[in-house]
Order: sequence, then structure tokens, then C-alpha cells
Amino acid sequence: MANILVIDDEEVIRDSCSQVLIKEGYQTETAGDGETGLQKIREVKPDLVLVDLKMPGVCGMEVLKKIRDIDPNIIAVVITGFATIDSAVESMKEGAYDFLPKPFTPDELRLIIKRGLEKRKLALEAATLREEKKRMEENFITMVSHELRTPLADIQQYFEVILGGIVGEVAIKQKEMLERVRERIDALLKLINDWLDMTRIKAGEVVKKFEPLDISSILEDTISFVRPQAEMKKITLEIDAPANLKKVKGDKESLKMMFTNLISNGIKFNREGGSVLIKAKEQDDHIVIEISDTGIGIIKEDLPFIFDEFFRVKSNKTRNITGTGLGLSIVKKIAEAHSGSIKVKSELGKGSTFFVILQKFEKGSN
Amino acid sequence: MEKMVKILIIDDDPDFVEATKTILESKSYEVVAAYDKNEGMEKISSEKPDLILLDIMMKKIDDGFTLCYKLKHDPELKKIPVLAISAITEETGLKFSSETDGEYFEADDYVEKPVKADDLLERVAKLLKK
Repeated sequence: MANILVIDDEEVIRDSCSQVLIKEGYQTETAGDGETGLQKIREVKPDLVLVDLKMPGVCGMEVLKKIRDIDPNIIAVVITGFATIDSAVESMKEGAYDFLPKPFTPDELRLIIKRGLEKRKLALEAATLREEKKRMEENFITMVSHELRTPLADIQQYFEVILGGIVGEVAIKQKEMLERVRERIDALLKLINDWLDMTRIKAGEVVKKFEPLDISSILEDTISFVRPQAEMKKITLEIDAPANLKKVKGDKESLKMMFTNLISNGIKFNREGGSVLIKAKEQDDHIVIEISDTGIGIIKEDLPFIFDEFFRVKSNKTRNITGTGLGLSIVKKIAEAHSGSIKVKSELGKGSTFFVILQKFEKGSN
Repeated sequence: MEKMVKILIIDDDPDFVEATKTILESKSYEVVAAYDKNEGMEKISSEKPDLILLDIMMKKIDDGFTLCYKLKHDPELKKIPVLAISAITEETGLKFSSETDGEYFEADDYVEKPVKADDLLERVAKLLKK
């Protein structure tokens, strides 16, 4: 039930208004002066305030101004015995919804209250919708990826049931094909994740917290994360990063994402039994991290494009290597978000080396 | 005969419910489902489940969180273990996490969709033992 506050220094007005309003079923409060009125507005948060313009102490105009600060959606109706066009206009300027000159009849009061409350209802609904729209916009990337990932997750979940033999035996040939389907869906999920990472990096959602970071320990963490992948291809991972290196200025999670992509590429595009060497060193104001592999290398013609979105090196050697074509563009975006850069050297048949150049963390800089 | 362990799945996605239900039923759990936040709340009191599988993002992005919050602030219901599930995690763009929203989000465990059958059963068994 709507809550109405009557602020008037004349007791007879307060009483007569209250009587009418209570009869209508409104919860009604009264205040004899502006000061008490404002206090009650803060306490009971009324939907509508009837306020007399001319009162001793804090006057009606003052109350109107303050109401707006407390809650701009509270409807204020001005009542006064000295109704002039000027005071009406001025109170409207201060945010009053309407004006009721004394003396007024109970019907006039009822009508203006009813309209005022309708207006408040609409305003509140609009505010809720605006809020919801804002939230939708803020969460747009999350929403889109949720919509894209959910059906694929469902498909994978059914595969878990079917391939797990939970709903009956699956013939070998069927199982083989379904396994392939599952792999393709996995790749699609990976693509969505990469695209999402890319979008979030572009939106500045990923690289945002810069702090002094020990690059050796980040590299160690990343290496232990990709080690299972290396072991499957019998690739040795070597690290050469002195523990006393100067700290870099970076965002931890995105740097890990960057090195994971680079080392994982070094493993994927390697020969069986090959190695990936990860080196970190200081160079002037920078820390340089080198990731070298003993893999298939990249032909000169392709080098300018490898950081482009969705570009993939196509040759008979890469045909069976899965990937989304976004890994290196993510790496480049992360390096750039750190005011750093990335370079590559490659020799076909011998391997590639990627150089990530990051800034040292300087005290007092940010 | 020992009373069957009852699991409530709250998820607005009927396919996920169907697949997950089949996995759980294969291990003789009794499974009931609710397809939105309100039905979820109703079934928690009417079915008295031993464990709840809760989807985080239903109709609204935070339906699961709201429900979880209610649950974990109810003296009667807060002892029911909650395994939260979503296709989106913090890493893939969800802005909430138990780390940053610990007080708001108090699920007992968390897993990403799709979930491997073995992984799901293991987590469920672990939560039920607590």
C-alpha cells in the first residue's frame, strides 16, 4: 500500500488530509514542519509527499530540493494558500509533480494523489527496465558465450551418457565416429573460448590489474600447466630464467594465458622428441622472454600474417594439428595491452623463436 | 533396504537435466528436477533432497546465485550440499566467483558444463560424505 507523507504547519490541513487519505486506504504520516518532514522522508521513504510551501523554518521549496537528493522518484505535490503562478512555476522547477491550491476539496486531493501515484509506478517500472538493460549490456559478452556454449555442453553431456555405455552398448564403429564428433565439438568449444578471450581482451576486461611480477615463477607455473601436453608428444621443456631477474609490470592471469599459448604452440608445431626452450633475460629497460622450438618452422611468406585473427599456416605438416587460429592474435593483444611487443624469427624445418618484450616494473611508475 | 539418496537438479535446460539425470540414475541415485528458480525453491522444501545440482545462469544471469544465497542463509536448508554448475566460469567470462563473491556465493563445489560422468559422480559422492 502506498505511503503518503503530509508536511504542513497547519494542524487542520494535516488532519483533514490524513482523514481523506486513510479512508482511501493509504498509509499516512504527518509532519508539522520541514525539518521533521525531511527526517520522516528518510525514515519511511514515502511514495508521495504533500508539502506546504509556506512554513516557518525549513520552507516547502527547501524540502522539494532535498527530496530530489534523497530519492528523485518520490512524487512531491505542493499545497499552499498563497497560490501564485510564480510560486507554482518555481516549485515545478524544483521537481514538484503538481500543485494544489488551498482550499481544495477531498475529491481534488484524491484525484491528484491517484495521478501522482500512477506516475510514480511508471517511473519505478522504467527505472527497473533501465537497470535491467544496463545489466544486459554489461554482461553482453558473458550472455553471448553462455548462449553459444550451452547447446554444445548439452551435446557433450549426451556423449558422456552414450559413450559411457550408460544407456546401452555402442558398436565399435559407431563409437569411433561418435568420438570424432566429440572431438569436433571440443574444438568448437575451444574456439568459442578463444574468441571470448579475444573479445574480453579487446574490451579491456582481461588485462587490467598491473602489479610487479616475478617472471620466472610465472614461467614455472605455465610450464607445469602444459607439461602433460609435452609429455604426450615426448617434447622436453627447458627453462633458463634467473630467479633474481627484475620484476615486470604485468597482469598475472593474462601473462600466463600468453605464455601458455606460446609454449603450447612450441609443443604442437614440434617434431616428436623435440624440445622447447624458455629463456628470460634483462635487456635495458625491458625483460625479454624467448620461446624457441625445434619444430617445423614457418615459411617467410606466412610470417607477416601469423598474428592475424583466424590465420593458420597451411601445409601437409600442419593438417593434423588442431587449433582455432586465434592463439597468436591473443598473444599479441596481451603483449600490446602491457605496452610490450612480440617478435618472431623462424627457419623452415629448424624451428621458430618468439620474443616477448615486457616493461620492467619501476618504483613510482604505474 | 537403505533409503535412496535423493538429488535435486535445478536447471532451465531440459537436455542437460536429461543427460545428467541418466548419469546419476546409473548409480542408483533418485533424481528429481526443477526447471526454474521458483520451482527449485518449492522442490527443495517438498522433496527434501540430500544434494542439489544448481545451474548458475538460468533465465536471469544470477538466478542460481540468488537461490544459493537464500539456501545458505536458511538455518534449516544450509546443510544441504550444493554443487554449482554452469557453461560459463570465471575464466570464460563469468564475473562472479567463489573467490571474489565468497559471501554471496557459497556453493560447496563448482564444476563447468560439460561435466565428465566420472568427475560428476566423484564430486557428488564426496559432497554426500561430508
